[in-house]
Amino acid sequence: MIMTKEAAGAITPAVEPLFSARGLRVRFGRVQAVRGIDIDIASGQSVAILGESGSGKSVTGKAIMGLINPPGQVEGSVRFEGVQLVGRSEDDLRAVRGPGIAMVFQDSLDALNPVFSIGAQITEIFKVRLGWTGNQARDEAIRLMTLVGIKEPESRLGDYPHQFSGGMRQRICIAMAIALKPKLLIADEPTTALDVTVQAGILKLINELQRETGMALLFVTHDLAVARKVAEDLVVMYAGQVVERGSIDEVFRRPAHPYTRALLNSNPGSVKHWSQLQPIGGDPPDKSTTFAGCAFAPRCPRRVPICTEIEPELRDIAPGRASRCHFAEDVFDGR
Amino acid sequence: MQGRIGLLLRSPLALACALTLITLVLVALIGAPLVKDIANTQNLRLRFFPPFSLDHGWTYVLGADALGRSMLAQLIVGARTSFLVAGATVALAAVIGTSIGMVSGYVGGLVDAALMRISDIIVTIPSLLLALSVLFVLEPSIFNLIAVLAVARLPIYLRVSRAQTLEIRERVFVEASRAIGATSATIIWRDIRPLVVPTVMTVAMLEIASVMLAAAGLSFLGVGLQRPDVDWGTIVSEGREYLTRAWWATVFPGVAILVTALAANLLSNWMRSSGDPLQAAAMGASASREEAARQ
Repeated sequence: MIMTKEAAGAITPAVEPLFSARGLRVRFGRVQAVRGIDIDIASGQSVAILGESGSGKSVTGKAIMGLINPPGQVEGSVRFEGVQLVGRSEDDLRAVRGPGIAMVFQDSLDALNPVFSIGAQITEIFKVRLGWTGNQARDEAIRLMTLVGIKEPESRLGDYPHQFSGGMRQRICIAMAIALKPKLLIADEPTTALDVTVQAGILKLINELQRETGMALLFVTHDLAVARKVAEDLVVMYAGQVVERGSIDEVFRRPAHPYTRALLNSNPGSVKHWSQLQPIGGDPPDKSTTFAGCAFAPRCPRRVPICTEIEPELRDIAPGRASRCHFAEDVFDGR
Repeated sequence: MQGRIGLLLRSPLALACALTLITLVLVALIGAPLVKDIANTQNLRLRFFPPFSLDHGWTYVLGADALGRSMLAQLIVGARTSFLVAGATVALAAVIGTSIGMVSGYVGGLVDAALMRISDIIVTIPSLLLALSVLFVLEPSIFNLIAVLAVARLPIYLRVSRAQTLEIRERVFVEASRAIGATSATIIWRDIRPLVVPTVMTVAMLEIASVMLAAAGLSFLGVGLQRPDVDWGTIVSEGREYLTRAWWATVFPGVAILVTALAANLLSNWMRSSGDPLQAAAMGASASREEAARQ
């Protein structure tokens, strides 16, 4: 289904991309949540960040938006349309948030203000940011609600968040995120709190919106199937680092990092019977300690002494493919 | 707002409380200027005239105090001052305290630390001592009384609103507002204030009674209101001396404070739950169910 996409090389275009992060680090005291990641996103491109709990994928999304509160510290470079975002004041960031980058959050149950009606919350965006009048804002709110698939939007404008189901609330959150026509939408596990049937609807909606508006998408998830549904390109994170990236179909077909391979083997969708599942042994590393060598080494099935001594670099191993493993070529070739 | 009034009409207890308060305020506003002279008229032959007798006209229906002044007239005049002092003090302290508390909680850091230490200092100074010294230096007037009491009551609102803000600040919808580019001022006003105000309202209503009593205490010490200004607290403390001979001189103003405080508290409780869309919906639903059952 997604096989037709031209993918290789798309992750590092020659011209300055819409969005580019270089050496992005996020620290909370001694805990290093994100340990230097590079991501490029071109206009209209969809990238999924895949990682297990605590791999730093959500923190990456927030760091891009400048939403990391003290004592969290962000270092490195985040450039959006050529403008550096890290270290900017809230006022400067405000100009980017909304029309530049917008975000959909994981917890749709709490992402809407419980004391205002949906209509009031959507129209407020237009009134405050664009200075629109009440009627103009109301019309646009109805249009947006129709766009995200809410039936009878006129009559539901006056309803409060608790009167909507989880899926509907997430649709409203998406409507609010795309209200100012962002060029990049960050979706932080938007379907995690929803059941599977609703999840499919939301993913379809995000895909359609992306196609229609031409915005770029950064989709943060821990779900392999979800990532494959919405994105063309994949960034796999482990312990705050990018361990592999490339086109999503390529990576799924031919992983070039032992972690990605292990992740694919532990995916219930990939096997016929649960007894064939191969969970990844061990636990993710403690991120408050510094470690020599590869972060995945303690859990890696093909660990050799060099893995715990020298930290591997993220290096290109094929066009559009990169892996952070000393033996990336071997893994890539299926050995 | 229409819905809110409809909801009030359907909850008997809240309605009764609201009506009681409105009546008291109206009596204070309209009645006080009319009976001001009667309240200050002394009639020594009627000292400790017992209540519930119409022998000396309706003004003495609640008896007379040690100087033969009509209790009823004094209560009416006292109501105005009591409401003025308590209302203005609570309003002033609540508005200033909540504003500072929300900013302090949302901004955090040094600003927060500084404001909280100032609040700690205010708490450590006994409010009575503060009021005594300030009112001793300045002259005891209604305005000074309100100002002093408001400062002493400030930390409660500051702490309550700050604590609430700290919690709300971490909610996802605040983050979502930031992500869509809302300013800090917008977030405080639109996201945090609506959730802090119901709690502060409850606290404020509870505070009305204690402010009335604090004002009474100051009157008792002689630095509060001075005659001819009189509030319920003054009447209570004056009547206290004759408690064994004339219970009515203490009990009636005391009951007035009690009724006001009780009505205010019950109403604030109702306002808190009806201010929350979730609870209001539940209240509306149960009310209409009851109506349906009756029909």
